[in-house]
Amino acid sequence: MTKDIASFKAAGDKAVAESLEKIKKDDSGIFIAACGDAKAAGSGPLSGIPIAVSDNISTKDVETTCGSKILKGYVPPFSGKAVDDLTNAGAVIVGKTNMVEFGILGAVSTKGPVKNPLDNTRKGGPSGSAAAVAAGIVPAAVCSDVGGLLRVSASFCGTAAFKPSYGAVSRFGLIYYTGSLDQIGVTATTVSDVVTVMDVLSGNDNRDTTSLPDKMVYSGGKPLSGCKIGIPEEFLEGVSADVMKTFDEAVATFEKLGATCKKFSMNTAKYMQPVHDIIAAGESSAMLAKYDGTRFGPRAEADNWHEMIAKTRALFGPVVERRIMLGIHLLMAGQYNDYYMKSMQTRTLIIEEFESVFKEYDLLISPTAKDVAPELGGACGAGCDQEFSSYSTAIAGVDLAGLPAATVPCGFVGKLPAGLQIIGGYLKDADVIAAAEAFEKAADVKSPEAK
Amino acid sequence: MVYENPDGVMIGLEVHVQLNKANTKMFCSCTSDYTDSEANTCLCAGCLALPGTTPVLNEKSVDYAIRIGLALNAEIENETDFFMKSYFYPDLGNGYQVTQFDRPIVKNGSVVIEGEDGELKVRITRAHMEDDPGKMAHFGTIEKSTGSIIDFNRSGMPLVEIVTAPDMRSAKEARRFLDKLRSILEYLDVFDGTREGAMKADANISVNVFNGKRIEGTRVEVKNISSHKAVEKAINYEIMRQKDYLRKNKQLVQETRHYDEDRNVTISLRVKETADDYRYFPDFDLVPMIVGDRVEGIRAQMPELPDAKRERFVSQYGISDAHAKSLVTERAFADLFESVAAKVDQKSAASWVADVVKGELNYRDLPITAIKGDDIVTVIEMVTKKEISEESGVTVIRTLLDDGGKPADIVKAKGLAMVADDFIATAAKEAIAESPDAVADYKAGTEKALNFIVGKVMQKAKGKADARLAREMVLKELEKM
Ligand SMILES: [Zn+2]
Repeated sequence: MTKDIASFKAAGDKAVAESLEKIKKDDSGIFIAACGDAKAAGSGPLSGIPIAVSDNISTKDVETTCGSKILKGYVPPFSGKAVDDLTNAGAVIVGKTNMVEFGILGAVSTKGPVKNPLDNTRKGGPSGSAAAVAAGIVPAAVCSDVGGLLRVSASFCGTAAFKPSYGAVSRFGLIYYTGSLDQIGVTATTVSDVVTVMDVLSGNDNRDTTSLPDKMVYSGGKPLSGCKIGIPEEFLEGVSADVMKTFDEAVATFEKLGATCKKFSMNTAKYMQPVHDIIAAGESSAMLAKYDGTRFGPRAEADNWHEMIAKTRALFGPVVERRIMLGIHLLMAGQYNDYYMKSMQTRTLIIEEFESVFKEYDLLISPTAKDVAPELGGACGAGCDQEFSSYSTAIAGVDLAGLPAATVPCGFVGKLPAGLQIIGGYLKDADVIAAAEAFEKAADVKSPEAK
Repeated sequence: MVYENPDGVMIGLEVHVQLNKANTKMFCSCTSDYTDSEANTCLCAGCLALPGTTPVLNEKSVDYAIRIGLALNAEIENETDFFMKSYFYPDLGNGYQVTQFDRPIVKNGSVVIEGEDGELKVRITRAHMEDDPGKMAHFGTIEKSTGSIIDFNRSGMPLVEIVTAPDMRSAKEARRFLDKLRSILEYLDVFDGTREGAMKADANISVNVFNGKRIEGTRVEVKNISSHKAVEKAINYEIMRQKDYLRKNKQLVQETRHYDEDRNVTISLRVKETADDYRYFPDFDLVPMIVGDRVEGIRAQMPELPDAKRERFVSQYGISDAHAKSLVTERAFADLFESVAAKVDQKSAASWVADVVKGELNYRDLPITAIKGDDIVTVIEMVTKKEISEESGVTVIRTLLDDGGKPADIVKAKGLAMVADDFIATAAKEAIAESPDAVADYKAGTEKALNFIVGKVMQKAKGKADARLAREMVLKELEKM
């Protein structure tokens, strides 16, 4: 069902119109809104290509809600840097993909869950970005990646995805809830298409202080032959037997390609998820404070401003609300030193351990998610806090250290794909891309139906 | 003379200084001069804190903070950073203020002021950078209101908060500190103190002596006092209130009070049972800054500050310390003096600029730009050459300020030109002839009688004579007799 950039290009003028048609008919919760039109297509490397962006990336004159009731009706007066880059490259933004409220895993979108295009009884992930690609609606989708919002969705839907080193893509216009962990990435049908779009998005932006000074180069990475690949044992904990099987096959493929794979233990691994959760909660309590009904978005009727703020903020979903409450609690003077301060210190230790690990290994690999796409509904149908940290230790570690990481499909469990995560050292984005491309080509993973 | 401080008053100040000359706001490119703009016209998505905006630090505001630190004889932190300070208030767009926490850019400085008993060194504990929220106005009173409106023009303005140790012992000292600080800040060209909201102070006041005995005072914070005059009044009121409470054996509580300028009272805002928890944590949108390497460059560019200028004026121009002190309080006056002193006698320049010009400007509430240095030079020259009398010189200055024009034209139009010497000589002879009694008295040793005769000469010249000259002429004629 997926279609790459080339086949959309081949469709010419009709590409955008067809894509929009599908978005308007979408009943799988992949999109929150359609936008744009074919006439908007400019010239450039993505000329006439329909692209989707997640609903937490600001689009000028197009409602941007982050999947939350608290942003219903909010129309940004400016576009995010990513959106401007895409349209300057000739692409047409055709839709805003669905996402769990504010990208907080476990929370619920106003649009409900994303259905998986490969099995509509299953979830398509915390964002609709990968499902939009897997359903053949767009050849590529741009989505912020925090806690696996992008990578886990790609793993569930069998697409390729990449999250660059922290700072490679400007966060200007991205409505992040945890700024130090979030980074914009891309999902597409192939690694090569991912790179085409990443290349458009990358570069310094003086509006984002954390933006890297130089444009990231994704080509010219190390070949897999002679490559030393590490597998942190802790990244395999809790992984389902079926997914583990696909991972073992992936390891065999890497060895066939001339790489050596070695398991080892990371001392800080057990802290990655809790530290990620504490920092994300703390930052969310500040980042989500601006939603008070004063300047934008819905405003609750009330007798005084205290009440107005309180009632407006009740529009947050329960999971988001609990995340904020947790963050507030952790940042209060009584707890700060025990939790937040320790988490920041531990984050430094995690970054340092990754640095020393990457002196020994060129790359690390792990399953992207512990399991294949879960069923719709179930215990977590209405949102649940456990899901916040259920995906993988590896994802948390990557976010904390701001490392580049790709996910590519590495096998199927029935008709559901499993993803392989390839992690590189900070700023070693090109090495990750080279390995992902080589693996993709050698493994040639296809769904059982396609075989 | 040692100041006894009978009530053991301790006053510390937290002064918020708006860096309104930093061109742009602290984290966006909106103008830092919104004084004459309509509400909510100087803003952007960033300072309105719309979702998806990211802060970009105005480096100039950092340089200004360093400049302030150096002027306060303080240490500049090599590596410094920003923290988020969270609280909900409708005019605080982000729901947090960007401020500094345990690594303020400036710490351990001091300012020397004229204290109750000579020089007083007020310690500066720290000075940190932060952004200003918007401005909220309520229909009705602060306690009870039917609605509120917000102007976000101020939102995101760069501020430096200067915190002193509780070293001041009277309201007068607090006011002198603020006057001195304002003078220093104006010299640094980081701030225009005439703009609304440019400088605000919170005062921490405690009374620590009762019935001549040392007691543990209660620290009360009086917030948001906007003018220096109000500071003095607010502090005096608060000292009086605390003394009154002690006398009546009423319980003083540690609290925040608001100063009501119209009623000249402080009103309790809230009782602090526990310290506010602002949940400070590092701002992850702004990377820590290394600023140590800029300090020497900024130091090299530092202007001469009031104290140094005052000393130089006394030694270089030989003017009195009182004149020098008066001239240096405002940098523009000091500059005006120097431009005038370069062309005429320096002591005359000092007295004309410090006594006449400054007084006449203050009386009219006019800025220094209302008068040209060259016009002052012309007036002084005319007086020195005895073309006009000193009194007429003052008249010319006043006319320049009230109606404008050129000194020469004013002299002509008002007929201020001094009368010729032979006219005075004749007038002196006439006056002597007309005052036989006074002449007799003078001859008999009554010096005062001379004044009577000179007065008569002045009358004849209709004031357009030089009094000293008239006196000389009269004396000369009397000697002949
Ligand atoms: Zn602005």
